[in-house]
Amino acid sequence: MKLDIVITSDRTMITNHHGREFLGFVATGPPIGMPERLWMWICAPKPKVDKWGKPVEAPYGLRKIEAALVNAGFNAAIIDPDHLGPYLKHAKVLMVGHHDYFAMASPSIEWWLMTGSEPVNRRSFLRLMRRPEIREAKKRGLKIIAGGPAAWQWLWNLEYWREFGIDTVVDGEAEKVVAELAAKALNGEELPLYVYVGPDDVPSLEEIPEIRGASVNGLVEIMRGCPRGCKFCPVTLRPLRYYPLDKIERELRVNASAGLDRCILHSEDVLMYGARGLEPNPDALLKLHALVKKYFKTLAWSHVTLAEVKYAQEKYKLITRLTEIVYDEHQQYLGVQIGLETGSVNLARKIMPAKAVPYPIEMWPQVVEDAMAVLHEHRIVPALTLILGLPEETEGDLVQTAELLDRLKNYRCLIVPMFFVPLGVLRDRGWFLKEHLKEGHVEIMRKCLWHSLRWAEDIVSSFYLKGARNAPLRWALKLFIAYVKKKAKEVEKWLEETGWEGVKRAETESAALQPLARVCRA
Amino acid sequence: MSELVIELGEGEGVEKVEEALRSKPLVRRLVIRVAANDRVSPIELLKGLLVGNISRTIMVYAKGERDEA
Repeated sequence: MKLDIVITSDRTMITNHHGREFLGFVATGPPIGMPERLWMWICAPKPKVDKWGKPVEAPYGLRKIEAALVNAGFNAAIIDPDHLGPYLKHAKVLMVGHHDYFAMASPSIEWWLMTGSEPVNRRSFLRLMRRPEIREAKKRGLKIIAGGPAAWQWLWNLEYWREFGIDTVVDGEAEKVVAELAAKALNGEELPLYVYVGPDDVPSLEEIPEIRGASVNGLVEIMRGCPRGCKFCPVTLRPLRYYPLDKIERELRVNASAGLDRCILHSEDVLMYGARGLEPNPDALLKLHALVKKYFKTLAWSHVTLAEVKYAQEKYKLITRLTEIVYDEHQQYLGVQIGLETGSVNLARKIMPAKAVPYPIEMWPQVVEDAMAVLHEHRIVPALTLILGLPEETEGDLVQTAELLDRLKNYRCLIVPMFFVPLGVLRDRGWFLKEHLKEGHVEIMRKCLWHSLRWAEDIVSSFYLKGARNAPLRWALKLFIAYVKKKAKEVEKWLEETGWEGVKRAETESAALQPLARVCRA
Repeated sequence: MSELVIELGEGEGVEKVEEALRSKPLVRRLVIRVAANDRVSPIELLKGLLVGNISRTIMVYAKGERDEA
């Protein structure tokens, strides 16, 4: 089989993470306490491919691009990175996409900054682009187009842009522009170097193609955009579009017919599906969940917001009603990622004034605590993310966040602190680097670490990796948790003796960190 | 939708684009053609503008580039 257009990414993207989406986060870290091969096996095992080297499951974003191209009549397909060679002898265009090409997004960037070692997602992508089959194809005139949610990172990595001979970078929702770019590349016409798709040029619902092959872990989008307007988030800049149920069902069928028995509903806030303003739509949500369970044994949410959890439960008992649909003999818990961002009311008012709606922003810490109680009671296990180093953050803000973390001690969750990355309305602000860390940040990171270590064993054993089939992974992760605990105790002792300022004075920047520091300061 | 095409010759910088946008702030789509010898130097020249942009569609082309491949 020959292809004109090959779509791919590196191994950390072309994998199903053993069917456990959350293990994908392990690819944002460097290999710690174990060989890189073992680390990669935990987070990014080789996926099943068909006889042509097409992965059975592929990233949803790449599936959308593939669908847009095939619908427009192009000979294009997603190919596993280990099967590129024969295709690149004939292909004229290579399209690559990634969540985090250069480990500049959170949480990759803080693992890199804190450990001084490059995360495996970056290592894996650089290895891919330096493969001889790509280099040789490039010499023969292959056009390379890069896109995806991390497209912005190319602007900060011009040396790689030059080294890999990237012809075009597309930043934003690409479904409307990709066919035109493909036609230009195939016809030898002039390609733009860079395309940013602004809010006026995003595809309408009708223009968003439906996937033609299965997505990783059965992920399907149910809407795009978010009305909350948080300043650090790029999604909020795009118009709100709800997929109708029949469109969602057609994509569910694609995944089910590929043999998948699990589904992830993707939205910035799943509980906002079909909402009128910020008022949840119980009928739409109940129908959506019943529809998913018709096709799949298990279901997960990509994201929800804490305000919506509290409000939906208080007004409609909706969390109870949804989990009654979801929980059965196949599924007894639900996983989700949630942005906690800050425990400070002042900072919340400045950067995310609508985050607590319909409650006033002054109630934000109470909204967080009440929502966490609802989630805990319903066996919904969140990975909470905090942002450190937001513009205008003060010591007082950090104290309030630390106090809120104390109030969350007894709720089952992981809490991951993330360094501020300039995106969304704050895209032109400065990066938060290790040298900006203060005692308050270190205290928050310490609290997050011990909270997460305390709950991680429970989550791994009782929820996430139950059963004999998951024993090797469970064992590897428990070993890793034990290693991190040991290391954390050593670091704490060091911090007690020296203090954070002392540590900063004593430390010299490691060689591995220098490329990142240089890029972020440029 | 209002579109603006700007050509940057040798020695011209991002200031020309910023000046044009100040006079036409309602432009929603911007096409910038930059005289360049390679495919990365226009991005280097415009990086500040591109990093800070969130609201407009922007397309950047290199004029007169030599293919590096």
